[in-house]
Amino acid sequence: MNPRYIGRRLATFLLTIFVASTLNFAITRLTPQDPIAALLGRMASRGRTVEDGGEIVARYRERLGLDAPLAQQYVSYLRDLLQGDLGYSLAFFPIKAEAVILRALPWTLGLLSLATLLAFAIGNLLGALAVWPRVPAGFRWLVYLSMPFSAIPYYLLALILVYVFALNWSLFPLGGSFTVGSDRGLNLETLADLLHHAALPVLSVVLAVVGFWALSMRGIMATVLGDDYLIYARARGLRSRRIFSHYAMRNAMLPQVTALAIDFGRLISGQVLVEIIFNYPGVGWVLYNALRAADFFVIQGVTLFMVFTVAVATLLLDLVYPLLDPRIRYQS
Amino acid sequence: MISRLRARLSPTMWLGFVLLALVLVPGLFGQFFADPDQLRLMAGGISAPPNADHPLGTQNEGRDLLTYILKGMPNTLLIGLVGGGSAVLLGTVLGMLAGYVGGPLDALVRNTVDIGLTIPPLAILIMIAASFPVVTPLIMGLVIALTSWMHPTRVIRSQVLSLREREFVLLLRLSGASPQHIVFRELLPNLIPFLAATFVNAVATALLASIGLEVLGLGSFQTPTLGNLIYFAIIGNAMWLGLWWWWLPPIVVFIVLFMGLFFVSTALDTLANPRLEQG
Amino acid sequence: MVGPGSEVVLEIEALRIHYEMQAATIRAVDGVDLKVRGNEVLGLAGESGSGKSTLALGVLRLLRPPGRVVEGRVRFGDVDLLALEERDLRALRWRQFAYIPQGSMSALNPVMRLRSQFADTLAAHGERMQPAAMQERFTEVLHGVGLEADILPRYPHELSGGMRQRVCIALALLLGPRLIIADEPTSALDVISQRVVLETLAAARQAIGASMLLIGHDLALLAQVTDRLGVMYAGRIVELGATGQLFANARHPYTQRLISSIPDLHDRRTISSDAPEAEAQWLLEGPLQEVSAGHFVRPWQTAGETAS
Repeated sequence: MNPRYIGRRLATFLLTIFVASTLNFAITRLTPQDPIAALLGRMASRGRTVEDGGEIVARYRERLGLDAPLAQQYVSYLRDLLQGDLGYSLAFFPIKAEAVILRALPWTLGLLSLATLLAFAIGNLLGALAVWPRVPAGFRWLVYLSMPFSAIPYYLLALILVYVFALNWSLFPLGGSFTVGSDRGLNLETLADLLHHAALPVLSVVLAVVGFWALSMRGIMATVLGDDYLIYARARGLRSRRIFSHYAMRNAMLPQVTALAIDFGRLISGQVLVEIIFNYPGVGWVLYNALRAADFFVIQGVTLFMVFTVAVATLLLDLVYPLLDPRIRYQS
Repeated sequence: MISRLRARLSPTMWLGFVLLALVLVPGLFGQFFADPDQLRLMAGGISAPPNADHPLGTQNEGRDLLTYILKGMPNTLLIGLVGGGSAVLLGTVLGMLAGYVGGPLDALVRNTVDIGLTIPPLAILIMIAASFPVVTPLIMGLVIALTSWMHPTRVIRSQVLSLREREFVLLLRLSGASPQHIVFRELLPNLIPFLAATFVNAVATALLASIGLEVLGLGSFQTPTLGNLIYFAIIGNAMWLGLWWWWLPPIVVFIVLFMGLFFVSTALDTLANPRLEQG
Repeated sequence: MVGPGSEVVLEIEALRIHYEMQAATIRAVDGVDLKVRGNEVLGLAGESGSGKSTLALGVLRLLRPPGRVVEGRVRFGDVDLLALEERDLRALRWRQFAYIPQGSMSALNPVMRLRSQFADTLAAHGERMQPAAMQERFTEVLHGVGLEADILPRYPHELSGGMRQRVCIALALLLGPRLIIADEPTSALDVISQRVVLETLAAARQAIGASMLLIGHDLALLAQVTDRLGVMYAGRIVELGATGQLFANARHPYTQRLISSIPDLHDRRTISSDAPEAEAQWLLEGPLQEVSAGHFVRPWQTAGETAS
C-alpha cells in the first residue's frame, strides 16, 4: 500500500483527536461558570442536592487546576490525556473515570458493531435487490416499508419496541445485558442469554438504519446497472448471481463504505441513547448516570471516548478501503 | 422557478406537507387555547388516564399532559428551526465562499469540514449543554447549529463548484460582471431547490440532536418541550407503570413530524436532481 | 485464405427497436434486414445516433429499458434468439457469439484482476480446468492479440487503452465462437493504435474462422477489413454491398457523402448538419432494391431527382 496514503490518513486521525480534545477543553473553560458549578446548579434546578457539595467543588477545582493560568491548565490536560488519565469518578470514588468507562466498553462495542454490521448488510442487500432485474416485487416493497423507519429517531423506536415486545408480550427482557444471577460461563446458554438481551437494542438500531442504507444503495445500483462492465459481464454469459455479487455489489459497495465512515458519528450518538432506554450497561448508560450525578470526569471521558471510537473506526475504514478499490492504491 | 415548482409537486411532497401540517397547526396555534393553570401541580388527579377533563390524562404530579404538549411544541419547533436555519445559513455562506473563491480559503473550509464531520456532534453538544447553567430553546438551537453546519457547507460547496464551471457563469465572468452579481443574482437562485432540501434535512438533524440532549437530561427544565416530556416520562417510570398516555403521545408527534420532514426532503431532492427520478 | 461461405450464421429480419420514454418514442432501429454469412466480415457504418450500436445490443439481447425490441426476428443458425429463455440464451452466449464492446475502457470490472475475469468467463460455461491448463489457455488467446500472460494478475486501470481493447478481443476468442459482434472496437483509441488493433482483430478472427459483424463510423477503417459493408442512417440500412463495389459505385447520396467526407470525419464534423433540407428526403418508404448483384440501395429523393 502507498505509504503516503497511510501517512495522510494517520495525520488526519491524530488531528481529529487533537481538535476534539482541544474543543472539549475550550468548552468547559470558556463558559461563564466553571463546569462543576454548572453541573451542580443543574442538579439543584432539578430539586436534587449533593451532599458535601462544597467539598466536591473544592476537589474538582484542585484536580482541574482552575486557579492556574489557562495555558498551564491546557498543557496538563493534554499531558493527562496522553497518559490515559481521565481523572477520578466522583460517584465511584476512588475508581478512576477510565476504569468506569473501560468496564462498560465491551458492551457498547459489541452492541454497536453487531447493529452496524447487520444494518449495513441487510440494508445494502435490500436496496440492491430492489432494482435488480427479475427480483420478486416483494423486495421493492420491503425497501419502501423500511423507508419510514429511517425517519424515526432510534431511541423513540426503542421505547415503542420495549413497550410492545418486552412489556406487553414479554418476548424479550425489559433491559440489562444478561440475566442477573446466571453463571455466565463460557457456554451456549450464556451466549443465548446475551443475544436475548441484545436483541431489542440491536433491532431498534437496525430497523432505523436499514432504510437509510437501502435507499442510497438503490440509487447507486440503478446507476451501476447501466455500467459497461455489467453489460459486458452479461454478454459473456456469466450467471446472474455471480454478476450480482462480484461485479455489481463489489463496485456499488465502494461509495457505501465511504458513507459508513461519515455516518459513524451518528450511529454512536444513537447508540448512547438506546442504551439508556434499555438500561444496557454500556458507555451510554454510564454517561446517563454520570450526568445525573454531576460526575464531571466521567462525562468528559465518555465524550472523548465517542470521539476516539469514531476516529478509530474511520481510520480503519480508510485503511481497508484500498483493499476494496485497487485504483486508490496508486493515487498519491 | 415557481411555476416549475408548482408543476412538480409530487404525491410524496403532498404526503409530507399533510403530515407536517398535522404537527405544525396544533404546534403553532394550540398554545393560544391552552390554559397555563393546567400545568400546575395537581391540576388533575395523579397519573390519571385520559378523561373528559384531561383528554391526554395527567402525569405523576397531576399536570395536564395535553396542555404540556401544546405549550411544549412551539419550543421544540423553535429549536428545530433555529438550529436547522442557522446551520444552513452558516453552511451557505461558507460553502459559497469556499466554492466560488476557491484557493486557500476553500482548502481551509474543506479540511475543517472533513475533520468536523468525523467528530460526533453529540459528544460536543453534551459538553456544551453540561457547561451552560441554563439552556433556553434559542440557545440550544444555536449550539446545535454550531455542531451541524458541516454537512450543509459540504453540499452547497459542491453545488457551487459544479455551477461555477457552467458556461453561463464563465460568460458572465468574461463579460465583467461583479462577483457579488454573479453570486447573488445568478448562483443563488439556482441553488434554491438544494437549499430547501438541505434546510429540511438540517431541521430534522437539529430536532434529533435536541431530543437526544433532552432525553439525557440536558434540556432546560423550566421550559416545556416534547423532549423534556419524554425525559420526565423515563425518569417517572411511565412505561413500567403502564402510563402509556404519558410517554406515547410525544413520540407519536415526533414520528409524524419526522416522517413529514422525510417525505418533503425526499421530494425536494428529486426536484433538485431530476436524474434521481429514473432510479 | 478461405472466403465467406454461403451458410447464413446470423439473420436479422425486419428488426425494430424503440426507446419508449414519457416525452417521446425514439425509433432507434426502424426495420433492418441483414444476413451475416459463415466466415464473413460484415461492416456496418453510420454516424453516432444512426442506431448501429442499438442494433448490436438488440441482437445480443443486452438492451436496457427504455429500449425495447418491438418487432422482428433474430435467427442465429436455426434458433430464434429473441424468443429464447434466459437460461438457454446464457448457454449460447460467448460459446456461440461473442461481443467486443464499444466502451472497452470501462467494460472490464475495475475491482477484479484480469485473471479472475477470464476465469469467470470459463466457469460460466462449465469449463472446469486445472490452473495450469487455464493458464495455458489464457496465454494462448493473449498471444493471439499480441499480449503476454504477465498482465493476468493486473487490474484494468493498470493497462493502456489499447491493451484493454486487446484484452477484450482475447476474451472474445476464449471459447472459439462462431460469430463476433464488435461495436466500434477502436473508437476510443488514437489513429495509429486504431489501425493496429483492428488488424489484430481481423487476424484473430481469421485464425478461428468466426464470422464478424463489425460496427464503426470510420468508413476508411472499415473498408480495410470487411467483405461486405452496410451503411446505416436514421435506423435503416440505406445501402449494402461488397466493400469494393460500394466504394467504387456508391448510389445513395448519404453513402456518397460518407465516402467523400472521409477526411472530415476526423474533424468530428457531422454530415447531416450540412444540408438538413436534403436530409428529409433521404428516406423513402419501400424495400431495398438490388441495383446489381449483391448491391442493394434504399429509394431516396433529393431536390429535383427521384432515384430508382
